Amino acid sequence: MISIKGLIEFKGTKNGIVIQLKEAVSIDELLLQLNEKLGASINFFKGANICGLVGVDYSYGEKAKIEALLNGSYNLAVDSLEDPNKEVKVVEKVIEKVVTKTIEVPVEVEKKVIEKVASNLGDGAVKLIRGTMRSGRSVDFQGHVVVIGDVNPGAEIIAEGNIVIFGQLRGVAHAGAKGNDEAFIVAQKIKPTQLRIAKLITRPPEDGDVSDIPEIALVKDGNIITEPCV
Amino acid sequence: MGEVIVVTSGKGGVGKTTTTANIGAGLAINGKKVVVIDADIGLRNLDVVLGLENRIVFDIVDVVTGNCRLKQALIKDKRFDGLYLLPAAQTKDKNAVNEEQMKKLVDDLKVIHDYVIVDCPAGIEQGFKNAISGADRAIVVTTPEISAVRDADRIIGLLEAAELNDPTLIVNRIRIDMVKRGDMMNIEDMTDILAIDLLGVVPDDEEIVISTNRGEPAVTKESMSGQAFRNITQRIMGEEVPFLELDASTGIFNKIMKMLNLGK
Repeated sequence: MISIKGLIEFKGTKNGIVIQLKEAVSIDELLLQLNEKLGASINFFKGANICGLVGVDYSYGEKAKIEALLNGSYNLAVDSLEDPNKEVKVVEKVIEKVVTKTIEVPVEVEKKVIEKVASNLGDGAVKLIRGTMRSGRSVDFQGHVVVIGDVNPGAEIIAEGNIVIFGQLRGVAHAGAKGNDEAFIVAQKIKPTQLRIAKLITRPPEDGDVSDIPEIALVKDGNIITEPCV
Repeated sequence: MGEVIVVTSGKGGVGKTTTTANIGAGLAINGKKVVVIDADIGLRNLDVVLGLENRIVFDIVDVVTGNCRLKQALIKDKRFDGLYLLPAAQTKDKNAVNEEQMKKLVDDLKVIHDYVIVDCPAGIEQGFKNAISGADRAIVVTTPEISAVRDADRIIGLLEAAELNDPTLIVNRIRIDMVKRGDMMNIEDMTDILAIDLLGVVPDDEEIVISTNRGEPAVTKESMSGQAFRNITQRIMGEEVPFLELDASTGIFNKIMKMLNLGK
């Protein structure tokens, strides 16, 4: 195992330790190198917390692997693996609609669509909420959230994973809350006050042209768009 | 054993006090023993709307602090046999009473009355929590406006959390002409969001302003709002009453058109 000298530097800041990478390496290489470095000096870092990662932009899934290694094998608390110097970019744009014509959707098709989405949810815990979420109710979950009922204006769902609503979304839904821009939101009718995925925020078009068919909201080319789910 | 009904809304100014006064008077006219309680301590209005403010000697805070007996504080309305008012205090605030005191109060009252109707203050804080203590059911009042419906939705959520299930809805101050133009929410939009049963619909009526100023409940008058409140009273007593045909196009021309099936 060849350790790349000087690849990883741990820099102490007032918020914790920032991992600085001198050059871009693949995620597998990084994990090996981290193991090397930490294995050698584990007692030095005992009880420390990691508050950032600078130098390479890893994807959400890759960051999860890094966190698992630091937390699991070395008991290091991980507050964040973001670049602490980068400003959080809030992109506010009106929802772009891919298809705007109204389509008649028979009930059997709707059910099939929802089943298909539910089976594509992915790994992770799922919180199931039965009944309408009324104004003022807030759900914050580290996983996927499935609601059987409407989400009224003034209610909010914040999920680290995906959000599926068997009803009308009229409130605020935030999927991929920890930064996963591959998260999606599905509802029988998407008529929200705001939609949020990862760090992006959008709101419905001013002319009130909201759909009447099941739709999925996801991130494409840096924007949140909605497309029919049929 | 009587029934304790709390009249609430979340939003202020939608017609809780007017509704409480009219339902109370309406039930008394139908021979029931009713006590209406003003739970809006510090901003009391139920006494004014009923025209009983000059007769207040003791109030709800006097009762819970033991300053007087409950019977001494109840004001008997001389116009409606069987109607009593327990007024709020004007010089205190909503922290002068707590939930246990309120519950004991309504429990004592429901033994000797058929209906105990509590006029809830606006908001979701201590006043609201007091008013719903000991209630058997709730009536949610709203106007056909998005902000009022938003607050009503919040209130229904809080009622359900307090296990006051199946509240019923009164839509107040509806203007059918505006609904037809699409400028005002219609009943279906509201029941779609709020998802509770409709108890009644009361049209916007100048008569209400006059009646509340004079302290004479509209339920005794011939107006559309009076009729709406009479219908609501019947429904509370368990009768099925069809909803008012609010689309009353007055004027002789419209009446003729209607007869010939040509008008709207």
